[in-house]
Amino acid sequence: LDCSTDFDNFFDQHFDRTRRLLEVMLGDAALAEDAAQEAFARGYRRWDHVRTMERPGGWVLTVGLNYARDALRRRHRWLGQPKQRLQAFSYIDTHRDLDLVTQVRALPLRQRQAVLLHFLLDLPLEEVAAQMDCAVGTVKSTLHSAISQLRLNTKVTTR
Amino acid sequence: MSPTTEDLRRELKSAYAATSSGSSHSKAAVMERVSRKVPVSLPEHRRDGRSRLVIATWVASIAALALVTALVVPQVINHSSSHPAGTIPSTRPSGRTPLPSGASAPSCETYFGSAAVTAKQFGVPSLDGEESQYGSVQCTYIQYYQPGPNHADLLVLGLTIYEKTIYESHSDLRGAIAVAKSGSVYAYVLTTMHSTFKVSQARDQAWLQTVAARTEPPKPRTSTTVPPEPTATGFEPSGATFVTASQGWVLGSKNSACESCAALKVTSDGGTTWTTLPSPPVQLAPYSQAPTAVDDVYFVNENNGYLYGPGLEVTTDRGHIWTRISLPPVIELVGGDGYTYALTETSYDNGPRLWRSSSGSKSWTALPIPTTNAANGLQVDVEGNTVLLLQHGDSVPMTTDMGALWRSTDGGSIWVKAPVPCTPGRDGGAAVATIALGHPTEWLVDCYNNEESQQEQNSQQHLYGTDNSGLTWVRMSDPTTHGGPILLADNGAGDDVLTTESGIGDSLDATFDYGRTWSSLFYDGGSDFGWADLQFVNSSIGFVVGPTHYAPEHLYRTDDGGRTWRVLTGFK
Repeated sequence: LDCSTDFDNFFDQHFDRTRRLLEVMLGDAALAEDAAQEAFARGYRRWDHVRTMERPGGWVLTVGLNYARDALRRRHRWLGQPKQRLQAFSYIDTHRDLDLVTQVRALPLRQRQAVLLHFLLDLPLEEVAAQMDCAVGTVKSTLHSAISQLRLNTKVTTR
Repeated sequence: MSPTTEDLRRELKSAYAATSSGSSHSKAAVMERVSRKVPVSLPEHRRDGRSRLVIATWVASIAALALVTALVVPQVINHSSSHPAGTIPSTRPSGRTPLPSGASAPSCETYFGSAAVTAKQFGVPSLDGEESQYGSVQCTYIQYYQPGPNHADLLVLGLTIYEKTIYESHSDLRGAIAVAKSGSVYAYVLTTMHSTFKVSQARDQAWLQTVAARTEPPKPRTSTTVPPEPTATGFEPSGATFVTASQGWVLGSKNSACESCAALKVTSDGGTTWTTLPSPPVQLAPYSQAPTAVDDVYFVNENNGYLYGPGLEVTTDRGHIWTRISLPPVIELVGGDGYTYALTETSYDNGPRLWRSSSGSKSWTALPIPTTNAANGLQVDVEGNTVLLLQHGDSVPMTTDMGALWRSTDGGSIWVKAPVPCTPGRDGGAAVATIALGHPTEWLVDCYNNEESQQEQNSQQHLYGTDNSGLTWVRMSDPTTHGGPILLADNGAGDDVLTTESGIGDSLDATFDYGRTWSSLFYDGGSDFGWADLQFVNSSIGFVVGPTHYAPEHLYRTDDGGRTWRVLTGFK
């Protein structure tokens, strides 16, 4: 009983945030919902372990992001795939006037994750590193790549 | 003027604010996922997040298999025809006892057909519970089993290593491999791609020392050179095509450092050696999301070919020079007598179009298409002048949308509606169709089972066959009980292969008796990602790309109608 109450609280605290972050990252509300649900379902299945983590919120976001990446990487040769995946594929192509958020969505997922944690949630680098389970130096270099990528793209599109 | 990080901050926050706030059904949906049935044929350790590692070890093991096959056991492989790979001979443990339906599989067992086996049954000591520098071993399980003469069996073991997080760590491939012969075990701890399995607190030191002492493999029986490990070059197959048993092309990622860099290779010896062609002037989808990017290759004959999906490029000189063709995004491209057909979408909602081009030509003609309903998708298959167009049905239970089927016998000009075998109440909608190689009136259609959707990851299939262009259909044995059907092929000699995908397991299932009995040949831990280009070039020889979660995917070849498959390596 204690365990499930525990999970309920965790769900209430983190689900909406996770889903919305995923939506910003992916530009696709349906896929974000799908990924968030899957991440929390996986969290529930191994709740004994996840609940002991220092930052289970970072864990579900990463799991959701990985799940979404799999969905996006999946070939769409079979047209019967859910519509949102196809739209996610073509999202970049159909938005010619790229705003910054759209450009962020074109970044590799790890970069996206770092950018969102740091610039959207205003987390300090140490906290970003903890949530992404990597070294602070890795976060720095990931952010650096992302930032230079965004600036490069900006120059191309504004001229 | 370039935006600053402050602009980025502001725009991200406004994008976040623009997202919709929560819906109340999400928690129930999560719980529904948790309670979702999983296939009984799936070992426990493959169900959860650790499946990533299972796949990683699977990759490593298959790599090792290729290595050891060449080095150690050519005779084992050569004499194995009395038992199809992946089945357990009756003299071996347990035999075929059907699993009770709904039973939850005990961990660390592997299922071959319906027989559950563990490594211990083969006299292989388990490493379970031992510690490596990455975590503790949860399971020593059998990845691959190849029976040989006099019980000289090839056994490829995998280790499931539990890490403190389930973050993907696919760069750390690990595995173990053993060859069991007449009860004694010749085993090798496999030093995998990136790390050595270091056992610090081995429970079974004696065995490990034995293993270590035998890491020098026996001398090769032939002068076969060791094939490189598939990942050594970093080339990852994405799509493949063969015009004969020997002549083929493979398209893929140049290397892991540039996944979107397309590389094209050609073989003229059936896939043993490959020559790299000049890099095609396109990027590889889906790594590149450019509309001109491609993810597959198709050749009509030894000169004329295409790169496609969603872009389209054509060559008339075996793949050296490519010309870009302007069509809507290409979903599928197949060839028949003298013509190549492309199925395109103008946009997802605006419906599909079907195009035809003479082989070697750069012009495409839009064909009349009998349906514009692509809500569940379309599929096209071609044999000679016969074109089969399947409008997929719905996968949800109790559906009445069975899909639809049309046939053209004049290369796509005139279409005749054919009955779909899927029947409301009994079946779900039509999922995939194929024409038997060389038999234009013999088709297979796989329907959902009207119980679970493909999304539920546990759909079963109801398979039907016709030998008279759909006038009458015969229900065949259900191929498998899991996954969504993806690709179906028939070699024209009674051997059918079906691949499935789902979030928790991809499989390749086959029948060698016209659909009476099916067996599962491959099963991975689940990727929802992977199979492509299942094709027979004749009744014996076939190819398929897949199925792994992460780079590299593999190109498989069969020389016996789908009974056994081997990984092609040697990509330069």
